[in-house]
Amino acid sequence: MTIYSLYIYDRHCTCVYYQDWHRTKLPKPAAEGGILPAVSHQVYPQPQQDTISTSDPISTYSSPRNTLSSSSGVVVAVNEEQRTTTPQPPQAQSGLSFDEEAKLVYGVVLSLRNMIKKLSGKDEQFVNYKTSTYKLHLYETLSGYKFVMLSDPNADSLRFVLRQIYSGPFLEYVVRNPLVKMDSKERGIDNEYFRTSTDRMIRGLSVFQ
Amino acid sequence: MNPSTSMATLSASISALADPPPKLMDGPAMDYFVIEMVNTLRESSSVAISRTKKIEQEMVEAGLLPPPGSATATATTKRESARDSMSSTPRLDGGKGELSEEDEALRQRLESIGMHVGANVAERLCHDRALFSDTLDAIKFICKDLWVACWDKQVDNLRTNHRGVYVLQDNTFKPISRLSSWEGRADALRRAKLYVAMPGGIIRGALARLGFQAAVVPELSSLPQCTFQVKLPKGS
Repeated sequence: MTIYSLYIYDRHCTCVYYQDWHRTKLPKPAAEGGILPAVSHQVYPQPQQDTISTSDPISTYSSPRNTLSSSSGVVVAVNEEQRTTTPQPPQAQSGLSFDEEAKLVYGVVLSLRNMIKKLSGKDEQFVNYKTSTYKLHLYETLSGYKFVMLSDPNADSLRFVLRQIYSGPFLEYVVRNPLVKMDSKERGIDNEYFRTSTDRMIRGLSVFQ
Repeated sequence: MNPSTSMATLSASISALADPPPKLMDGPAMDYFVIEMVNTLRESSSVAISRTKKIEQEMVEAGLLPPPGSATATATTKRESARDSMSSTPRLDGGKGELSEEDEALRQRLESIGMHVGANVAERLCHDRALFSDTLDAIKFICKDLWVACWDKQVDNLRTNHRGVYVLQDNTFKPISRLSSWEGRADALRRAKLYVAMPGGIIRGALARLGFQAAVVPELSSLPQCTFQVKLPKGS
């Protein structure tokens, strides 16, 4: 039972945050201008393509601009993290760039939501769907923020987890953070405290790993 | 009508008037107001600066002012800051020289707002206190009562050199505890300098209302920790 990744979309239908824990194929960095800045350091397009660090699944804050990473992409040390990461075998990158992937996820969520509302009336809510390889959970706030989480197919509904992320780290380190401009069309909501606190929360769950 | 019950209700309402229960403000609401205040003041100070620059430019073109590069620039900003009544900050080596002109104007506005707020908060908090016996007593009042009223905790460390300089250290200072940036810690530290201007003004205003003319310099070294250097004039 494990959790694969988390996407957050705002009411302008753009991806404003991305974080992953386990993925079979790494996200390919987005094309220039495809995604907003401050969504995730991992998938933000870099001017020099050869210094992108591999997305180490256990590092909490992998910055491609971290000067401690060697050019082979191995992150040697990250901030105050005490552990040193072992060199990862190069993992396959998914064929889609991240901005297309994010748009696809959003499109699926939006179409299913609309279909369910048409079929059953506006009181029904789309909660999650399951395939043979993953399960996608949605939590939507009244303000239009959509929290989308992908987990393994055997997980129970993780809506409560998404709700906890919203009422915990999101309200604390995004809404009450003076440096994060919410509802802006030019920036995402990624920042250090939010990323580490959601990471800590997810890793502390019993369903993780 | 039973006279004793009416007396009881009368004394209950009188005691509520004499000793009112503390009215609290919602923490998140305060944060939202401060965030908006900083953004609004940033806009307004940039408008004000561009207006003075335009006037300067016109005066230079009309030949009334010597061309820029002389002391006129500082003269106009001094006139600007004279409107904020108590904002002429004596410059200690607090390392403020790196703020841009617009940020400096914003910082002055925030500090003078803080001074008015701090004066009034001190007025309320002192209404049933005895007089301060000496400056150390006043500083301890700041460290305990003012800090608790504004930021829900007490100062973590107070140091002094016994010659009028006090250093108040708070290891998790509330206004900057949620400040975090995508570009990393250094960027967050740089931008946090503006958000501690108003608390510095609160401290300065509270001391000023109590009769101590102090200079307060906030210093930020690592993020949730903030120190305030309070310099009181000798012989007070």
